[in-house]
Amino acid sequence: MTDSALQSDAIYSRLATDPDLCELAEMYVDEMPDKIVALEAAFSAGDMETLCQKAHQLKGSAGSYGFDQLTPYAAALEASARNKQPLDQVCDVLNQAIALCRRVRPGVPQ
Amino acid sequence: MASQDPHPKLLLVDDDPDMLRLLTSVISCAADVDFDVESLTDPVNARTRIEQGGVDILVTDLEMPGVNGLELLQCAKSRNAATQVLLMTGHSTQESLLAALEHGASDYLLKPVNQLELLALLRHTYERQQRWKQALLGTWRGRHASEAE
Repeated sequence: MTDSALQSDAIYSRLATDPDLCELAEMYVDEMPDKIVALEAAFSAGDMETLCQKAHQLKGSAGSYGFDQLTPYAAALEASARNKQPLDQVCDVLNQAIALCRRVRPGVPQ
Repeated sequence: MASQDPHPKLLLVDDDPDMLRLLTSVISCAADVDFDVESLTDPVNARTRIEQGGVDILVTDLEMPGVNGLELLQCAKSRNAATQVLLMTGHSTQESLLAALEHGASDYLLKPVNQLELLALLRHTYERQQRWKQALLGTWRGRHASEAE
């Protein structure tokens, strides 16, 4: 993971140019706010098991939907929650993952 | 291969609905076999569905709450040895993959899923399922022929 990955550029799916799958990638982007809320809710409740599960799902789905940049951050979050690291460390990793999630956009770069 | 299924039954199991939606679309749009695809997010329901029979190919996530992919694999194989099972995992730990292969998994797919890899593995898995089916049918016919003599 590089610092440049955490900059504020929009992240586009590599499926966005696939005529069969571009709509699915857009739906994934539309539903990203719900995924962020679920991650934040699990952390706020101290529910590391759910946080780990949600991060695990994000790790598998983000790259599958063409948002490869999210995968290592979701994996780091899953590991952090699974290993029950100190809350401030989990929080840092969570914030990094969410920052990436907020940058996903539908379509292709203009 | 004689008498191939026109619409082989493919059961997809993943507790993440996003993955099911994507995999169903990829298989429906691009697979060169016209699978009859059924998808389930609840592995407990999936086990019940497998026990009912008729599943030709099972594609399942390995790590799920409640019932994991390895248990579904064992259930599918005990129900019908011809059923082929493709496991998906985000963890590439050697132990879990070896356990899956030792229990009869046809192959495995690492997440994030690559569409082309999925389609190629499905083709291979389907051909393997057809060979198994023909072999079991041959064994059954041979047994009945000898009993009739």
